[in-house]
Amino acid sequence: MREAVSTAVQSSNFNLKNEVVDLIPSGVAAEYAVLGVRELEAFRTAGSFVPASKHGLEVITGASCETGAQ
Amino acid sequence: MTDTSPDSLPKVSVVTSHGRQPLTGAADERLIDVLNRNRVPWSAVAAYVVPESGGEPRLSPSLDSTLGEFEDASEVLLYFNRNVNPFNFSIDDFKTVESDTPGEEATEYIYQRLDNESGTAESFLKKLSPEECRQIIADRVGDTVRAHVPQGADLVVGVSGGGDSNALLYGLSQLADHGITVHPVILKGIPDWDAGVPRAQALCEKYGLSLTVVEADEVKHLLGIPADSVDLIDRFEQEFQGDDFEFLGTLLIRLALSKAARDIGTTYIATGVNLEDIVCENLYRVTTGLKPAAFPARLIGETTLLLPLWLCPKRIIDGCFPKFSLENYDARYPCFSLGRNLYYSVVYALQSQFPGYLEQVARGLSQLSMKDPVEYTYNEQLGFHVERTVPFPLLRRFQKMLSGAQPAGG
Repeated sequence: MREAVSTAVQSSNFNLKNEVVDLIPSGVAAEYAVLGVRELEAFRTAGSFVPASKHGLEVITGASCETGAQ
Repeated sequence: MTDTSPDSLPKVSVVTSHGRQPLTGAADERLIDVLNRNRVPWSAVAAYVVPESGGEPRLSPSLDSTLGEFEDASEVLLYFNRNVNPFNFSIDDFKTVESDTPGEEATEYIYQRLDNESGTAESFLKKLSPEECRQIIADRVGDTVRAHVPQGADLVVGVSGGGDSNALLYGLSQLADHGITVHPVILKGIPDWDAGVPRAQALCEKYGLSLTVVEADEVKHLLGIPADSVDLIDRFEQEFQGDDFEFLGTLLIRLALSKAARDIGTTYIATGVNLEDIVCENLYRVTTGLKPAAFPARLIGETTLLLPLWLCPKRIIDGCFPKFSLENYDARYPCFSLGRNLYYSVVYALQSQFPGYLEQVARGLSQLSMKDPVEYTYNEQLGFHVERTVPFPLLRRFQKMLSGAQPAGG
């Protein structure tokens, strides 16, 4: 699972584009998890809709664009 | 001669706001092939070549160039044109979840857990036994029937002997607490329908249900076609060459189920329309300027068409009775309609690349559709309900196919 980068300080993220990253999984090291069918089905069919912004700001700001196209 | 040794190839990277991701590629791979292999959308990147001879990166639209064809290029930088992370939803690093009976799996499905708080996606490849598939179907069918059909109602259910309707019958058979009486109906009159009858009979016997078989001539009568006349499929192919019989098939099924429902005094019918089907239908609708058609419960005239499998992926449905599913695959005709091909292709692309997203599309469209349901009007000339005005030339062709006979209504 890839961790989201902290957004605490915007300027510290600005240089990320110049840093080499490894976001594409490589190799086939098998990993296993234990989850029940009903738990997995809950992700699939009963999860909350993903809001456009992390805090659902689109309710306030969305008239111009709900998904934040500046 | 182009030097194709690995050291001579430019280094390729996707430059995103989240970091610079190297991509591997072979000399004979086109840039678009490298992008496709890594699931980076070609429409989101602009290619810049960093000259080996020095100087500023130069813009280089070159999706069709092989890596070996780049000249004076130490690097190819593919700038992603938006600040999103194109790798955030990759399913490649799934964790496997074993089935409850390892070695007896019927299928597998990829689930994705999305965490809004951390902004992450985690994928799981769940191996599913037939029993697990049936449990999923029973849960989903139960949810839908309890929400949309009153307790104690009679429900006329279209079955084909194929995977979808068999899973539907199973799901309905598990509803112990709702008092529903199931009346399965199967149609005959085209080869793959006829082939399903023995399978459907076997399943209905297993569940203690009495199957009604609508014979070919009765099916023709639904559209006013005389018995002992040219077969439906031949009429269709003659008048609508290159089109797909499924469109006429769904109409006939609805008319037959509606008639059966009227005969026993109920207004509830059900078919095995599944997740991919319902999103396909409604993507077609909303992308052509139509509002979504109501689901999972659709009022057509006085009949309510229920779609209990609306949140069930075909892969999981087919895992319920694997042997029946294989027989069903073998009985298929090809589909040639560009539209049907397009809308299903989009559905599969969404479903495969973003597990769980198709379900969000379905749930969102369902909410919209049920708030403001489409209204269907009885068309006197056709003898059944439609939503929109039928263009006169199409109406004439349809009537010509039926040879001007009067339909039974629905």
